[in-house]
Amino acid sequence: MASSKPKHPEPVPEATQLAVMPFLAAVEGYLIEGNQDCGLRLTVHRLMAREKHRHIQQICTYFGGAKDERSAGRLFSAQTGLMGLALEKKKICHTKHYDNVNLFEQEIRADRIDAGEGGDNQGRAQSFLAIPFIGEDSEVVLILYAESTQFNFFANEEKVSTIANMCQSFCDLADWIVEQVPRSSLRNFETKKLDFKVGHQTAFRRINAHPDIVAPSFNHLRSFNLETI
Amino acid sequence: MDGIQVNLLRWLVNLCKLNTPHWERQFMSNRADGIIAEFCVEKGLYTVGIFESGVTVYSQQVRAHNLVSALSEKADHSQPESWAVIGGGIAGLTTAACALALFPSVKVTLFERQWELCSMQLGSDSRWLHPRIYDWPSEGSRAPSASLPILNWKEGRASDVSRQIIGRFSDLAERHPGRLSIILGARHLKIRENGTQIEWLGHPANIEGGFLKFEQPLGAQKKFDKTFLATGYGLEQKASVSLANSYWENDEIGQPFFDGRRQAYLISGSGDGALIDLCRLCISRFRQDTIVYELLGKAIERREKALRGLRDEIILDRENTFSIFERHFFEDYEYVIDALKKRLRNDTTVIMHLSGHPDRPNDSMADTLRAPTSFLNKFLFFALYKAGAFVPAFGEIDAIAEEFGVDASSVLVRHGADREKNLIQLFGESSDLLAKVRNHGAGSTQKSERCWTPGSIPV
Repeated sequence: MASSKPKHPEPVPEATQLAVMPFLAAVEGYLIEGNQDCGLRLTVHRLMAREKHRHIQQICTYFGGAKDERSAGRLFSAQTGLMGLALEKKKICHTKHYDNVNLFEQEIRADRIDAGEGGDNQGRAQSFLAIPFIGEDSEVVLILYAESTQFNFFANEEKVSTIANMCQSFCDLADWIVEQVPRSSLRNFETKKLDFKVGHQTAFRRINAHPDIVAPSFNHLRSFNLETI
Repeated sequence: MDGIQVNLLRWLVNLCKLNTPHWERQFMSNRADGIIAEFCVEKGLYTVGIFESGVTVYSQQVRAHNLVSALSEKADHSQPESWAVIGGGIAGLTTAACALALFPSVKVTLFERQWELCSMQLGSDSRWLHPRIYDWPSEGSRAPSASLPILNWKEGRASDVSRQIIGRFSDLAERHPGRLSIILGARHLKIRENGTQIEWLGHPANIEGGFLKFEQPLGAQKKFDKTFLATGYGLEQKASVSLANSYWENDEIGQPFFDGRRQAYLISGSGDGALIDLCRLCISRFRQDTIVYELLGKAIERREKALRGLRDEIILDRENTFSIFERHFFEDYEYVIDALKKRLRNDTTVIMHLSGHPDRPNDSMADTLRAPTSFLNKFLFFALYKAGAFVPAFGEIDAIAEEFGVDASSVLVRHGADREKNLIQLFGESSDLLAKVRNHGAGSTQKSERCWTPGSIPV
C-alpha cells in the first residue's frame, strides 16, 4: 500500500528555478563567509496548488554543499516541520539561542520524539531558519528554509534580519519583473489558491522562536510559477 | 488543557501512529478503487480516454497517470506481470511509460497499427498544442508546461510536442532495459477472450535515442495479465465533398495568400476542431494561447476572474449559452469584439456549416453553442459572430458548398473520428467483448483532473 508521504519530485519550470538560484547563491555567500564548515543547507520552497493537489514544493537544489538537481521538485505536506510552522504563523521562525549545547540537545531530542522522528540528533542540523514570503493576498507564497550543523548558527537576530532584508529585495525585484516591466517571453502563471491544511505537528516546538522581524512580502504576486513562452 | 494533558495526548497519538494512519489508508484504498472503476471494462481490460469528449494531449496523459498510479496503489508489486498497451499515441505512450515507472516487475508490450509512435502529431506543423488552454480561464491554465511527472512537455507545434514526448519515452524505456517491447505496423491485431488474449502480426521495434529500429515481421499470440485500450479516436471521418487535408495534416490556411485573392472556405462542424480552424481563417496571426493576451491586455488576470464567473454561469445553464453570452458581451465584452474586428483577415470568406450530427441537428447559433466545446472556443466563436467574421449556414453541406461557390479543396470537414471502426477491427463486430466495451464507454466519466497522490510517481 502506497504511503501518503510524497516520495518523488514533480516538475518545476526551469525559469522558476533560475529565478531563485542567484538569490540563494547570494544568501549562501553571506552565510558561509568565514564559516565554510557550518554545514549549511539552504533552499526555497513554494506553495503549489494545481487542480486538486496542494503542497509545499522545493523549487531548486540545496545550496551550501554539493548541488543535486534531483532535490528540485520534492514535495512536502503543508504541515511539515519548521516550514509548516512558518506557513501557519506567517512569521519568521528560527532556532532560539541556547547557552549550552546540552540543554539544546535535550530539547531537540524531546521535539524529535514528539514529531515522531526518533530522539537521536547525532550528526544532524542544530540550527534552523524558515522565512515565509507573504503574497499580495496575505497568504504565504514562498518559504526560505535553511539549516546548519553549527550550534546557535541562526540564533542571531542581526543575521536573521539581514537575510530577511535580502528576501525583501528579492520580493521587490520579482514584483518589478512581473508587474512593472511585463516581459512578453517571461511570465508568472498564477496558480489556484486553495486552502492549505496547516498545523505544525512535526515542527520542533521547544527550540523555535519568532523574532520581531517583519516577514518579506510581495506587492503583486500570489503564487510563484515563472515560465518562458 | 495543561502541559501534562497535552503530553499525554501526544503520547497516545504517537502510540497509535503507524507510517500511515488506518483511516488514511482506507481513504486512499477507496479512492484508488473509484479511479480504477472509471477505466475498467472487466478484470484485466481497461480503456484510456477512448470514449471521452474534449480530449486533449494533456487530458489523455492525466488519465494514464491516474489509472496506472491507482493500480500501483492496489498492486502486489512482487508479482511479475505482462501488460499489453494497444495504441502508440499519446495515451498509449503515457500508459506504457507510467507502467515502466511504477511497476518494476511488469513487462509492457506496446502495439501500434501505424509505422510511427504519435503518428498523428509527428510532422504536424500547422497545429499548436498547449497543455491546458482548453481549461481557460481557470487559474494556471495559460502555463505553457504540462508539469507532468511522466512524459512532460511544453507548448509548441504538434511536431515539436510529439518529439518531446517520444524523446522522453525513449529515455525512460532505455532506463528500463528488457521491459518494453514495441510492435509497429500491426495491421492484424485481435483481442480475444476476456480482453487479455491478443493475436497479432507486426514488426517488433526497438527505440533508442528517440528513433525506432525495426526487426523482421512476426505473427504471434499471447495472453497478457492486463490490456489497456489506448487507441484514441482513430482517423478523422472523410466526406466526399471535401478534398482538404484532415485535421493533423499540414495545411496553409493560417498563411495569407501570395497572389492577392480572397478565398472562400466552408468549415463543417461545431466542435473544438472546427472552431479552431474558424479562428485560424478569420483572425490574423491567430494562436489559441497568445490570443487571450492580445484580447485581454494588461488586465488579463482581473478579466479572467470575471470570465470564470461567466464560464460557471454557462456550465450551470448550458441550454441558454447564447443568451448568456449576448447579455454579457453587451455589458462587459464589447472591447473584445472591437479588438477582433481589427484582426479580421481580408483574404478569406468563411462559411460555417453548423447543422450538427443527424441525431442531434442544429438549427441556430443557440443550438450550436450548446455543444460541449471549450469555453475559449465558444467565447471566440461568439465574439467572431458578433464581429460579422463568418456566415453561419444550416442544411446540407453539398448545397451550401455549391451556393457559396466553395471548391472541394477549401471544404474542411471536422466531424471527429470514427472510434467504432478501431474497436470493431480489434474485437470483431459481433463480439461480446465489444458489447462490454461499448457499454462501459456509454457511462464513461474518466476524469481529466489529477487524482494521483502528489509525489507518488517517479519522474
